[in-house]
This record gives sequence, C-alpha cells and structure tokens, in this order.
Amino acid sequence: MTVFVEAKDVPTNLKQPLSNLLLSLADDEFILGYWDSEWTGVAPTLEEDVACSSIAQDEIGHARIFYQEVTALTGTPIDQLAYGRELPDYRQAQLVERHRGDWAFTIARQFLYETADLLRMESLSTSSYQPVAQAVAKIRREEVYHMMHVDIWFERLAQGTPTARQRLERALESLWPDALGLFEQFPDEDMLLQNGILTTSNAQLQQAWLASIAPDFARLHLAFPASPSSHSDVPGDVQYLPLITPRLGGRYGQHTQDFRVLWEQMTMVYRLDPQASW
Amino acid sequence: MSDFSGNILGQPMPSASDEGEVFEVFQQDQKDPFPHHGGNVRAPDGELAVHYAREFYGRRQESSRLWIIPRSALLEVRTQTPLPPAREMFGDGETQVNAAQSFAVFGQKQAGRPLVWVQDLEEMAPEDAEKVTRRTAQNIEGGYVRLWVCPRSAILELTNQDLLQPPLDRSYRRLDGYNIREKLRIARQRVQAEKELSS
Repeated sequence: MTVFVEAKDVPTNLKQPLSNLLLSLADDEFILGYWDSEWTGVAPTLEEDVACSSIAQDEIGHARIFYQEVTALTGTPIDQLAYGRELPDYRQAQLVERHRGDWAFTIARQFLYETADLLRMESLSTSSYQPVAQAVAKIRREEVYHMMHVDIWFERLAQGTPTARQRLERALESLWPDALGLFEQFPDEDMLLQNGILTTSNAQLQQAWLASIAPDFARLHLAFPASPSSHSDVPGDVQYLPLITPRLGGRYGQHTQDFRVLWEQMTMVYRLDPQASW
Repeated sequence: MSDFSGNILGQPMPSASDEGEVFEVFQQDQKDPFPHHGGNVRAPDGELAVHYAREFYGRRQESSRLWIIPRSALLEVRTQTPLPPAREMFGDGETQVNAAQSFAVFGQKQAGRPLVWVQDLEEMAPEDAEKVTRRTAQNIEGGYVRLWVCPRSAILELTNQDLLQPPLDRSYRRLDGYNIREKLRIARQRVQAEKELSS
C-alpha cells in the first residue's frame, strides 16, 4: 500500500474525496465543540463548568487540526473553512447539529459520539495518509479524558434520580436515529478504502460500535435499538441489526434547522467582513 | 473506592455540604522535589474530584502528578493551638480505626506559603501517627505552623500523562495563540497604506 507522506503526494483524483473526509472529521468536532461550549457559565456546578468548557475547547482544537490538513490540500484559508462556507458545504453528521438541549441530552449525545469517535480514530491511526495518522495519534490521547468524563456522567444519570434517568432515556430515544447516521458512507468511500486512507468502512465501524456499547446499555438496563443475530457458526461473530431507520444526509450537505440557526450565529462576525485581517 | 467519612484520625476537618465534598489538591511538576498544596475542588465524589483537579491544577501542563485528598481524611495540627484531650482526638468507638497503616504528612513553614509533603510514616497506629506529627511540628528545622496528616490510602493519585501533559500544542490557549501580533502587524501595514493612498 502506498503511503502518502504529505499533501503534495496525493494524486489529483483523491484530493476531493480526501478533503471531504477531513472536512467531515473537522466539522463533527467543530459543531459539537460549539454546542458544548454553550455550557460555559451554566453547567451544573462551577467545577463542571470548567471541565465542560475545557472539553469544548479541545474539540474545537481538534477541528482546527483537521481544517489545517484541508488547507494543506486545497489552499483554502482555515478561517474560511470554519466560518466561510455555505450550509450545504458543511459535512458534519446530523447528530452533532442538534441544539445542546438539557444536560442529559448533552451527555447522551457525547456518549454516543465519543464511543463512536474512539473507534473511528483508532481505525484512522493506521491511515495511509500520514498527516491524518499523526494527528489522530495526538487527538486520541486527549480523547481518553473526554471518554472518562462522559462515562462518569452517563452512569450517574442512568443510575441517578428517576428524573435524571427519565431525561436520559428521552434524550437517547431522540438521538438514536442521528447516532446511527454518524456511520453514513462518506462520498467516494470505496476509493478512500482502496487507497488505505480509510482502513475500515463505515458499515464495519457501525457494527464494531454497536458491539462495543451494547454491554453498557444492557448493564444499565437502557433500551438498545439493535438486535444481535448470529450469521455463522463462528463464536462471537454477531451482527447487530438496527431496529430503527438512521437519519442520513449530513455527509452530503443536508442539514437540520438547528444547524441553520447555529450557522447564522457562528458565522455572524466572519460574514461582516470576510476579508478583514483580525 | 474507600469511604473516608469515618475519619480514622478521629477529627475530620469540616468539609461536607449539600454542594458535595471538598478535596484538597497537591500538585507536583517535574521541577518540584515534592508535591505542594495547590488548592481545593468541590465534587460529589472522588471520581469527579480527580477530573476537576485535573482541570484546575493540570490543564496547562503545570503538573505531572496530582494528589487529591478528601478533606475528611485529613487531620490538621496547628502548633499555636493547645492540644485537645486525647480521647476527643480519636473519635468514638464506631469511627475509630486502629489498624496500623501508612500516613503522609504535609507541612507549612509560614503563613501564606503552601503546605508541602514532608514525610511518609510507615505502618503505625493512627494515634502514633498523630503523636509523631505533633513532634514534627515542633522539631524540624525551625518548626511548622501547620501540618496535615492523612492515611496514604486516602490519596487519589493522578499520574496519567495523557491527562496531565497533553500531546497537543496548547499555544491557542495563550494570548498570542491566534498569531495576534502577526495579524496586528498586517493590519497596521494596511492602515498605513490606506493613509498614504488617501493623502
């Protein structure tokens, strides 16, 4: 398998698929980071306020790393990537677009996202595109903390007061179709797989993800909208069949009303004067 | 995790409230010989206390090790105050734990300076640990104004370098992280050029 050491090693026909992939990774982190940052000043306790803000800042920092790689490929300035695109040019999954909701919603979404992101990052750590593999190596170390944080809160809400549990259940129910949509095929995914830029298909990742979180849901007696079924005699070879329809479209520029509102807000200053030197 | 609500030293410092418990945080950087007191955090339990300690005392790569100690596990010894009677000091029968174990001692040499780890006391009964600490208060190098002693087992230690020494460039958290100087220079140049054009 060819290894691509830097942006200029990427053949022309791969540039577009690769930059779309990088934008998906960046936009997921950027938009989630934006919503999480809205807890600054209103989190349940002062300590949690700082922790949550810090995680939001980490996410936006990770987005910046992936945007930088898009800039290296396409030459588009980084601020223009973050703030200067029209709605259909954003590539995040719809899961991260939803309004931050209540605390249970924020935690439920983070749990679904972080557990999925963990596997995605692991699969990208052996990408043939070296800048991605290197970035992911650093980002994964930081995600250790995010995972610890969300694990603690997820357990706490699931085993807390009836209100906490009820809110968590309600949030999960509304988030599941979006969460499954996180594994929508990337544009030109086959090409990215053939060239080793992706090492695992989204379909495979989704299976690995469902298998990884099924025990948590069983232990906490939370509804799990996928049923395991064995297709072969190989022990442990279990397929999870989703019982609900995923909401798709984010990777192809279809976004929710929530994102339109968010976009208006977050690009407001940039759009005043896109040419300004700040 | 163990429950330290029944202080084995018999005289817990006030800590618990509706808002959670107070945890004292000691921090140590590569250049520090010993952990020193950084401050405290409030948390519902030790698990979240570790998180919050990391946020407040380890987020900017200023620590390579944190010790997080529930205040209820600390006994404070002040050299200025008279000794309370022995019985009072070791609690009633229920909270009293006499098993020999190791203790950590922290001391403050003068007001306004942080408490610093002084020594560990190996395998001794709580009352002996307490006596030794009182002697330490008076005897060592001009003495200490204040000492804290706690069972080693009460210390929640965080040394995970992924959490304390993050791999990513943190320059964006500093004031000049957005290349403000460079951007200002370009902006000034532009303003200057516009002035020259208009004059």
